[in-house]
Amino acid sequence: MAHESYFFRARRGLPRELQEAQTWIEGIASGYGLQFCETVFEMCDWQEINMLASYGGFPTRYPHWRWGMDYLQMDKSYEYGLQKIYEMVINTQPAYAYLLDNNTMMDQKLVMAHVYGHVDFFTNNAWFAHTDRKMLDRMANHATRVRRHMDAEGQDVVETFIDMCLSIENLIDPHLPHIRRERSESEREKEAARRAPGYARMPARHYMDKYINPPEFLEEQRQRHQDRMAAQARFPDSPVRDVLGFLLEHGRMRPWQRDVLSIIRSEAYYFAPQGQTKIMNEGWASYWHTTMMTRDILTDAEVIDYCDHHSGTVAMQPGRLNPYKVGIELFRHIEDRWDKGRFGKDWMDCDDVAVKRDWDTGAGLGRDKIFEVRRTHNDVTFIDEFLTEDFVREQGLFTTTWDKKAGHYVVDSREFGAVKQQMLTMLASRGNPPITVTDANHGNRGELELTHAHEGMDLQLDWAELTLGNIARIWGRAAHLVTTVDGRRTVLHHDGASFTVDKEGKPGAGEKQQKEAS
Amino acid sequence: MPLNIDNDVHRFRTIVKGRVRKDLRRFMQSGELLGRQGDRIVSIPLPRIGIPRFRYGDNEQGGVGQGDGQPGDAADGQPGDGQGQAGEQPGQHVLEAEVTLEELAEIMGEELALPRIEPKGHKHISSERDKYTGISRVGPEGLRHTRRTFREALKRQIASGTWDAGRPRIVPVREDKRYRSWKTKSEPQSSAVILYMMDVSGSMGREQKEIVRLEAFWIDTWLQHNYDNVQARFIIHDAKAREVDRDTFFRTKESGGTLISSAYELAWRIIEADYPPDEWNIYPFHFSDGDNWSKADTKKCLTMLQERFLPACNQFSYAQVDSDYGSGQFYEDLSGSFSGDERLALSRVPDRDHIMDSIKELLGTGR
Amino acid sequence: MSDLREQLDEALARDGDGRAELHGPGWTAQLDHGEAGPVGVVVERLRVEGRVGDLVDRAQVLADTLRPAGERLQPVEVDPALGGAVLRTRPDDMRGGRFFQLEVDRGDAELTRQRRRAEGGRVEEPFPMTREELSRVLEALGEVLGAPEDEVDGG
Repeated sequence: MAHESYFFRARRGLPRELQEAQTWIEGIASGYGLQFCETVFEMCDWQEINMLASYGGFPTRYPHWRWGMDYLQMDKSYEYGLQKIYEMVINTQPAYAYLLDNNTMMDQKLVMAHVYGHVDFFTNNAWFAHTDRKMLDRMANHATRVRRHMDAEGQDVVETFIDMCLSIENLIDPHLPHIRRERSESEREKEAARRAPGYARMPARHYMDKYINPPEFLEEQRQRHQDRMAAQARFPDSPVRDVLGFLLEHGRMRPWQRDVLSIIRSEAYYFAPQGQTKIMNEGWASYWHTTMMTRDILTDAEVIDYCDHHSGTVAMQPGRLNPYKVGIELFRHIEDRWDKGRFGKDWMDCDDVAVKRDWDTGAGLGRDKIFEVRRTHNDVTFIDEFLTEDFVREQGLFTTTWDKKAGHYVVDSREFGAVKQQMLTMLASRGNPPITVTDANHGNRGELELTHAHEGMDLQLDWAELTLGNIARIWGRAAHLVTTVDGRRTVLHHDGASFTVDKEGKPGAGEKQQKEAS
Repeated sequence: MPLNIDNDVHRFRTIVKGRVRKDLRRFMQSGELLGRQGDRIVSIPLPRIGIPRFRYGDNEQGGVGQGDGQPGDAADGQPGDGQGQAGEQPGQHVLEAEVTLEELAEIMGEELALPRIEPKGHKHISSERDKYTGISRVGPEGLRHTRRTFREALKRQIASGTWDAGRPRIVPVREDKRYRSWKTKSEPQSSAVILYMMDVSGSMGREQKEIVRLEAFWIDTWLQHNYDNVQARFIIHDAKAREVDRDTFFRTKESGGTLISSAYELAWRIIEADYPPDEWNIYPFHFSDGDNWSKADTKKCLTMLQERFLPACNQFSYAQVDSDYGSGQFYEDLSGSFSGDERLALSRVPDRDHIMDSIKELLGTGR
Repeated sequence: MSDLREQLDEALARDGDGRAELHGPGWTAQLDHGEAGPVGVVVERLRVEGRVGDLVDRAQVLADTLRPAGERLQPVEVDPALGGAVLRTRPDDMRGGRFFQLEVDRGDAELTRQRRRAEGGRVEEPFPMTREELSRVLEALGEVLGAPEDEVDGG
């Protein structure tokens, strides 16, 4: 298989003892109903693990300094706990997972059990249905293409462009079920008329240009086109969340830039479902490794040691939300409810606390239910549907808020509605403000307007300036971002070189900040 | 074992070093690197090397936590998932990267165009034991220390711009070669001593001492880079001189008058006692605001330089720092008496902004 | 008009080579100067020779009482072992990098005007002073330096 060559020169098979363990654990997992594709475990030393973690689980990525930076930072704080396992299984077919060579046998078994949980999740969860399982090949292909561009255009130039693309890699549509395949060249040409502010420029060699396309002619063309565009309906006619896609389709870029941007975009879409299902995925894998370890894998003697050793991983860190803990507990909670028939209209309508406390219809549907849930839900729907007041209380969840005077976060509320709302807000955005393209012919000058759907949280303005500058440079014309700052409607402008801010939206009115772009 | 990621790591370090290089003047005058030294490592704050993106401002987003606690109690806050990037310190957006002191010295050497020092003559420290220790540049091929050799070659190629990360090929040349060396009686190992002298009389204020402290860091870095073994001794003086440790050197303030000869006399006694000039590369560095007490005393100093220091030392360096009151006559007296003498390096430092230029004046001779 | 002022006017009127000499109880003074007008004079250097006294006390008294052109002085270096001290204008009172410098050596003192140079170092500069101001300065200096060891007080 081609992917074999991507792995380490000295390709190590697992030692026999671990091979046997893998077969055995695989059998146990299947026995519980987990369904997974072929899974390959690679034995790695700490440096390799570190490298893989920096590369998002893949053995190679396109050349860029960010991987080097991550590697050095991780090297400094070595903490190979279970947290690393998430990055250490990749969503491919066959799936690859990594074992650290100096772990104990017990740890290796735990890792394997945990991994099968993850692979089952990748295989079955609907949000992964359209991910490219041949991503190993694709990553290598991406790397080759980027290297080729670097050879042709120069490393610095390409790297700088990648920096710009990375700064907008979160501007994708999280609900886009499919990646639109790259359009063919001819299809792109058909789109040429809609490319703002494209106008029919007759192809000419550059030295002939001013004869064949004299300035007056071009001016006339441009005017005609502008009139046409003004007469047309607003473009795009509804806000576009897939900003990367929009830039690809309609931005003014050289072919190599388009190729690089499409690579960044396709990788962003590949990883997106993992971000959207982190709580569930971790919870699921933890549920299964716990079940398998305690019931099947460990001897009685080992169980005690295991509980001592691993209680930390799913323990609470005071004040912090541990996704493993919430995920596993919520799955258990669901299983318990469905085993006891604590669902449906009767349950919902009942408001007698005593009755509810003793409610048990013996339905026994828990296991089935959680298998179903892991197929259909993502973190947002998981929390939305299954987070209950009981659960919030049992788990001791609370919202936190920033106390300006104290200079740190403080406990805010334990009220169920507040906690749920906060969790949903956090999960829906994952720190990525929702930003859409709202006008691609802004000011009738082909400038790009984006809008931030403000949900009560202001943007960080210094980074917004830099990012908007990158967008302007990629788009090829000035870019504007409509947002809200301190309660006032604010528009940020960047033309690729300088940045200005208008408060209250009136151009020229309000405060203006002139700054040189960095 | 080589990893795929080595190229990316190298690329990142190149960018970091480029930043240091670009901001070298600022780093030199702000002293922000001095507090960040480890043993062989310096932490470089890089406020703008992260990749920006659209994100919420700090503390805009609340979070969810778990556990005990009343409303108002402190909670360990990390608001959302995915807010932080690898490499960021929590709560700040200042990244830190690390550079070894050696790399810092290289950057300094390149930016200031400082010639490498050629240790002179047969200056060596002898030792009785035969042992493989250390690395030297000459030796029989059987003892070639391959990894070091390739590292030297790599450094050289990077420095001269011939390194291509896309097509890595390392070709060691003779001067790259590093050998395991062993100490015997006649094995040369280059040693240097820095004699720091500072005027701590009333006219040298806190800012002036800070300038000296900053310059001393870079002088140390450079000389450690050029010699196997570097020692430093510290002398403070007003009208009298005494030897102190490094910390005291930077902290003492006296209120008396200035007799520069007192420091020079003490320095010479130390040299005579501990550092025979035929075994040591000697580097006195004197910092003062130039207001010597009397012409007579200045004359004494000039004689000592002429008859003792200049013949025996690799280089005698004098840096005159300005205070609110400007600075005094001593610089002119030295440059008048020894004009053109390469064994004496002179520098004026009107303020912090000139630290980098001063370093270049003092270390740029290659002696 | 004070005696000292009269003496100053006479000395300036008399001298032709830019040096005027004055005296008082326990002290003599040489004033090196440039142009002398009816109201003021361009001072290059003012030197007062007096009697030996306690250096540390004198330095403090001079710093407290001497106010050339309204500038307050501070002791910068005081060294009884070497027998001398240097006083200069307090940095807060400095303008344009200029300051007065009073060098005390045993029983003598010399007042000059200095300027800090932007490119480093300093340079001596002549300074204009009114005759009235100059005589006040002389008076203050004379009082401190003319007094023998056991008679110095707060002036």
